[in-house]
Amino acid sequence: MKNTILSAKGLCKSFAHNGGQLHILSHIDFELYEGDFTVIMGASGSGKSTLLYALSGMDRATAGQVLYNGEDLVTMKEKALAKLRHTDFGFIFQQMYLVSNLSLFENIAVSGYLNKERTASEVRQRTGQLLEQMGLTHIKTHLPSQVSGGEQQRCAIARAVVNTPKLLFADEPTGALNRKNTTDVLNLLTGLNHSGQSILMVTHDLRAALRATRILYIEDGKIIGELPLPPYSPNEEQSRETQVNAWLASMKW
Amino acid sequence: MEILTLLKANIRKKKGTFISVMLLTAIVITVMTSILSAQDNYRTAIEASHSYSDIGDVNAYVRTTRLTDEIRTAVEKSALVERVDYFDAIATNGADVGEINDPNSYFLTTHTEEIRLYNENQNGYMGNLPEIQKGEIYLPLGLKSKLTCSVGDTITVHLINDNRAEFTVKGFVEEPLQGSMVIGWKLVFIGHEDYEELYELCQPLETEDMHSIFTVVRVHQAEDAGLSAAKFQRQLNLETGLIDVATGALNIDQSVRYSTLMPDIVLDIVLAFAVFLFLIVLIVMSHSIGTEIEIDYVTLGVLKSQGFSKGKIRAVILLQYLLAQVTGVVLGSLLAFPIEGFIGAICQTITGVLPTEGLSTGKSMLCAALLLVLSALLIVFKTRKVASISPVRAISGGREEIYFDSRLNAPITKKGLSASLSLRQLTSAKRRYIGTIFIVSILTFCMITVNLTGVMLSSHSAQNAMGIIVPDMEVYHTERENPDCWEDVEEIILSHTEIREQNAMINGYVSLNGENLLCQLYLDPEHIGGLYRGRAPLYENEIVITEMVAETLEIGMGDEVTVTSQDKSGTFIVSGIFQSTYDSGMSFAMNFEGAEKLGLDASTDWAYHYYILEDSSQAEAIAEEIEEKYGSFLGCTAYTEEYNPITSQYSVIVDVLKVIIYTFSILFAFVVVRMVCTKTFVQERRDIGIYKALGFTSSQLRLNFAIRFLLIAVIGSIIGVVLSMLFSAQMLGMLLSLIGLSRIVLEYDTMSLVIPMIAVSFSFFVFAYLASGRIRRVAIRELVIE
Repeated sequence: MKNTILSAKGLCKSFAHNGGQLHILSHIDFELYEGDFTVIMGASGSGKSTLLYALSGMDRATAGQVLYNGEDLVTMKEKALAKLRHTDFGFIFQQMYLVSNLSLFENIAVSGYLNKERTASEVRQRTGQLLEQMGLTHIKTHLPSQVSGGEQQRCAIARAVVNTPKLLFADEPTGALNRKNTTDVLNLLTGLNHSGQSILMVTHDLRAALRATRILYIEDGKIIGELPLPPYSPNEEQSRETQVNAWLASMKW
Repeated sequence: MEILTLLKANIRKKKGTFISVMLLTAIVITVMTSILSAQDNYRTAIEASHSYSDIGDVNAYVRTTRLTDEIRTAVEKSALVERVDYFDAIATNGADVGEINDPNSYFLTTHTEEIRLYNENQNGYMGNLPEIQKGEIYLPLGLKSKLTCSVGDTITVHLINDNRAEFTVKGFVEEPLQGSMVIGWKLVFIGHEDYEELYELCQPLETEDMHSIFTVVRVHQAEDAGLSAAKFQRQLNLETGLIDVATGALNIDQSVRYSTLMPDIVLDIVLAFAVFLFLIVLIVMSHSIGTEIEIDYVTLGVLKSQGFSKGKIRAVILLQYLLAQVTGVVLGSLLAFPIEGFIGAICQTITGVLPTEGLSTGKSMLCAALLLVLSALLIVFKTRKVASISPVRAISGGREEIYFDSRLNAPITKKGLSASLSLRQLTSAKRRYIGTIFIVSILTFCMITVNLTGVMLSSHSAQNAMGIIVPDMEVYHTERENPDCWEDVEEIILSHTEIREQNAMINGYVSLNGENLLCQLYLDPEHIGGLYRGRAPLYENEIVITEMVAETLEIGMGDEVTVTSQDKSGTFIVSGIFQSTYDSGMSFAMNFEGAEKLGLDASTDWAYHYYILEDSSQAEAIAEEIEEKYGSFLGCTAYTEEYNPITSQYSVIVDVLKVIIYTFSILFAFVVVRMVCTKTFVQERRDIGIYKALGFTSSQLRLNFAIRFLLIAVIGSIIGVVLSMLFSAQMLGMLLSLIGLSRIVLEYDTMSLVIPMIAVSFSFFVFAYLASGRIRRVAIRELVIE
């Protein structure tokens, strides 16, 4: 029996549009489980990123609840949400979004410094470890503009996990990367998941989806399908791909 | 048409920039136009009033007994003279209204022709002076502020031999010759009955030393003479000796100069400040254009790809800013109307003359044209970058990412995270903030300079260093025939404290190469203050002159000059140049021996003895003791640090200046911070979203923003302090040369420096915090790419 780490109830998100309302998410109910690598897939405009941002508290839902540790993120105050972002949650963007005037080391450490439970030296030590793990130590003093896209994304992953979050959100983390960098990033995420990290990732990249232990399919703002998978192993990639492809085909992807 | 479409779109999109540039321009235009117009208006009004009151080109106050028929005939027959008017006046030795005493001489007269009476609010006339009844007196308007008196108050005038006469102030008049607050001697108007009674009282008491009955001689220059008033006066004196026999003389140019001196100084300082404000407007525009090109790089590239030439794009930017400025010019000109009226009303209390109203069209238009041309040149220069925008690069992902690299980068620390991030934002985009730093330094410079002016005008030591003698105490004879007591006076002083410096001095008007000037006679010429070239007049045939006298009479060190007093004259050599505020810089000095050569009564008995004490706090106790012992024939004044006989009138002005400059500085700080913050906000919107996603709260990010501007303000204000140390004295020297102070010695006290720094820094911090309110509205969702 898996423990629920985050749950959504009746989640709706609408935007004002041409004097009316454009409904992106419609009454979504679902649960995220501890230790899972959950992937949300769907066509462009299906609402997958909107769902990710609503679940992570980066954006507020129009209606419904997002419960984390018994508290509703939809009604949570900004200060509490901010605290959640540098304690329990980590976030990886498609475009990396590193702060351009901070070095790679500083980009990671700044997030760590926000966490009051760690001392400055502990943050620096953790940052050093992550840089080592991500293979970025030799360029830690470089600015984001001085490194490649893959290195930037690895740095963004390190930044997202520097506070050892309970849940890691990733929005198309490989969307802006080439094949080689994509594999590196996916390996890192898989490694993190194997060491116990709960991950919720949005993607429309099949190779990324293969790393999941659970795939959700979203269409017109509703979750219409779910595919549970065993933990990823490179040796079974071929059969896994066939299975996922068949399932996606059944979803009319 | 396409330009018009883009122009409309740009103004709609950049409303904040449009409004800020318009407001800043409006402020500059309001200040400049209203000041230039007010100066024109009071000057024109004084000259018109001179004509109305027919006061003549030269007015001489001559003791009636000395105005011989020979001199009268010589003046009347001079080819330079069109006509001469005479009227009698009784001189007073000062006056009191309540507790306020004015030691200057007033001349009581019944000569009221063409003297206009002000209405109750002094904003119009009631006509010429009516017949004055017994017990009534009409005062020039300048005395209203000087004596802080009103209609119905009682004024007591001091007459010869300590006689007194009381009058009721019946009204205030426009006396354009010397009715200004800053001119000591005044013509005041009484009825015939009072005049005859006082004449009967005073005339018999006259002796060689004590005089009371004067004739005021008004000499009108012949139309074909074509001389300036000063040259006419000099020439007239050389021909007739009229000025030599006069106790004092004033020509119309001097009258205008002295009447407008104080408002001119104040308004010139504000005008100089307005020039600095315009410089700030240029810096703000420069920053704004640079930033806009950076922000709109993609849009501009797209426009180019659609066929817009660089010329068209530059024209749109030029028109966009010039339109804001033209709107500012119109708004500023409209605001200048009431402001000019307000300034005029204040200046009227100083000049004593009702100013004309309205804006000086020529100067206002010139001012606006200059502002627009300089701005246009700047815009053309700043938009040259548009030429280098590549449509391909713009369309394929925008401008190349800014490469941040700086050796000044400070570490990011957990402790003081907001401050360290602010410092990093600053050091990694230094160029973005250079303009703002300049603006802060200019504002701080102006604020410090006005503070230092205040300190200079209230500090005895600073003034002594500049040659303005500000003694701790002054002792003088009130009665002529008395035993010598000066040794005893000195002993009384020494029983309280040591004497650091002492001297004795008398002032009198004499002619220098025909020019009637104030001459300072010193017992000890080695202690004449303010000597900065040559040496003191140690010998009986030497004088020192001010730079203003040197320029006016075209004489210099080593030149021989002729000094004439009454019927005696002598040749003197200019031994040095000194600085003095006496008669606003139009004076010279010699020693007692030189004065004796001219037959001037320069004796220690009759002189003002002044003392600078080792312990100035003892001055009041010493004065009390001297008054107790010799009060029947000696007068004694102790000057506290607050009281300043020469410059106290200017301290009020400095206070007004402080209010103006601080107010405008903070107003400008607000507009500038708002504008820079808006641009910075647009540039950093993405970073703000990232920081929020990392867990920074809006309050933390706003604090970060405010700290950054605080750091900018601190850096700018430090530069402002340095600028002030380098240039404040020179700038004040230029402006205060009007009152004879061109070599300024400033005392840098901590508060004068720290208060502007705190005021500017605090304003920037608060305004930046307020302006950063929109950070709250940045949603992390903006980072989403669907």
